[in-house]
Amino acid sequence: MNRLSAPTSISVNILDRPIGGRGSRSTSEQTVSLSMFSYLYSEIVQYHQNRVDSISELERKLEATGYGVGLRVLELLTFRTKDYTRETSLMNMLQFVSTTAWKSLFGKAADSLERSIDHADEYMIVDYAPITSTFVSVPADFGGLSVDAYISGMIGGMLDGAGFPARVTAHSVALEDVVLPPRKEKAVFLVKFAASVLERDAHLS
Amino acid sequence: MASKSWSPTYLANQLWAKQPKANAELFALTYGALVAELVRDLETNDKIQAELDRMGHSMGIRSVEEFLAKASLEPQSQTAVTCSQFKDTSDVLKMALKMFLGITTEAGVQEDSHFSIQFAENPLSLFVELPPDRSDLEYSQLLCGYVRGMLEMLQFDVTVTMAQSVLRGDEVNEMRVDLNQVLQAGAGDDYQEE
Amino acid sequence: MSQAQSALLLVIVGRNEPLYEANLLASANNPTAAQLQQSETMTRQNYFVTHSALDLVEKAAFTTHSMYLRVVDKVNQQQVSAFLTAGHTKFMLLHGGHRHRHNEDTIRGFFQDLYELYVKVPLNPLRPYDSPIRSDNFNRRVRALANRYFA
Repeated sequence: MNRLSAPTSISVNILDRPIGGRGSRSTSEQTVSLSMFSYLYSEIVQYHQNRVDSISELERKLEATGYGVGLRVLELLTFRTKDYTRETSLMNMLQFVSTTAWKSLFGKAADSLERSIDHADEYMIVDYAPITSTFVSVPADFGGLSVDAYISGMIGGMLDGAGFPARVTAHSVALEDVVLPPRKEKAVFLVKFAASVLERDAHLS
Repeated sequence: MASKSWSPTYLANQLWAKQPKANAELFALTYGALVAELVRDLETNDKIQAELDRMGHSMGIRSVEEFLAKASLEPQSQTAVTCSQFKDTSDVLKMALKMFLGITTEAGVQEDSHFSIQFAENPLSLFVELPPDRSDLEYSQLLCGYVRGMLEMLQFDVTVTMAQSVLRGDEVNEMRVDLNQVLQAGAGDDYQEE
Repeated sequence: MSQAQSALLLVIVGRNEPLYEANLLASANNPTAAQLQQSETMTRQNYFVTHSALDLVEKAAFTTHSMYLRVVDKVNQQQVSAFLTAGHTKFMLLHGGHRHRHNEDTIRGFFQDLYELYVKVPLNPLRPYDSPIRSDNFNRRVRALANRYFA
């Protein structure tokens, strides 16, 4: 006899499971331990590490993994707002990524969203403690690896899915005044939009 | 202190409450992306599951270290965390699975050489539906390796299988743990003994 | 296409290819073989009309925030309504003829419920993103939705 039986939220068929943003059964409220995520992500990094020849190839792999997740997350999180609207302007879309999506995925908004002074097509999303690098140690022989490439992939997936194709790269920038342990660096996600996106955006606004 | 304060369930909840958390959907989608990649790279279910099992094993080893370290800080742990006997390890698993995955488990069968644990919610498979051409894939094989890794650290060589799976249409998820042999304590194992 | 026939056709188009197509009239009753054959011909024309409206959806994509784009094209007595999701999946509904002159709110409601159904489909990690939807369960549910809104 089964003492536990699966609640209605669990079913063989995904269409039978609720995913809305409300109610205690919503998967948006569920958590696992941060350790478990970190252990899993370390395994993913190591799996790819054994199948690539260079650091940049490893970063591309992590980006590709994140890209698919970004596409999926975009639709899910937008659906949850239940107002049936899309982001159509570049600034609003960047806000969606660095605030709405960030809060949902990482529990807090990104620390800042900045526009490049030198390049009109570049923006930076800054996070002082991204989940992928703060709690995951980089393999010793992959010293220059940007392990946050997974998050750049997610950003790229969300932007591309919404019609704002961009090249997104993750960079570690040393912090001069270390306020919060354990990091001495912040992550900067550099978003470089395709020319067509900027043209369209200028035309619309 | 309440009389039941040392129960595995109580300690499990204490440990879980203190863990920093990550979004379960991000976790599920990340795991899903990994499985999808393994499907592309390795093709056969046997190879995919072997890789997931290997990863889970390594995660289990790391988790049990964290579990023992954190559980030892709990005042109740002296009575709750004992795992010198194989049968006691089901309580350790109950605590560890709560602490790391946030899932509540129930004991299934409990025999001298095997036991099973049941759970309704599986955080690995929040959005998963097995496609017809992968209906035999054990999507959650990572959990089997995870439990195997943890018990290996506790000196028990076990075989872990998903006896029931909601993804395959069962009403509950059930992992069955069979004892192969008790490992020699300290036999070349760097990890044992904190 | 000289005459306006009753039509109710749903096409879901992903970023690269059609993901799902359904003649929703076929679910409403049990058509005879002859009716089925006639509707086959009609349906092919209608698919063509519906796909032709895709460009118009692309054009509208960045001029409104709303996912619901209302009627984007009219051919004879038939209309194509569209809904564009956050990830730019397009729901195209061809409707018209004497039995299917539905108002905007009905179609809006149908699209919104369809979105709730659809949004779970690409979440499945084992399903390649943007690939055709072959789930019987999805098909059944879409037809049940259509019955609720359009019967």
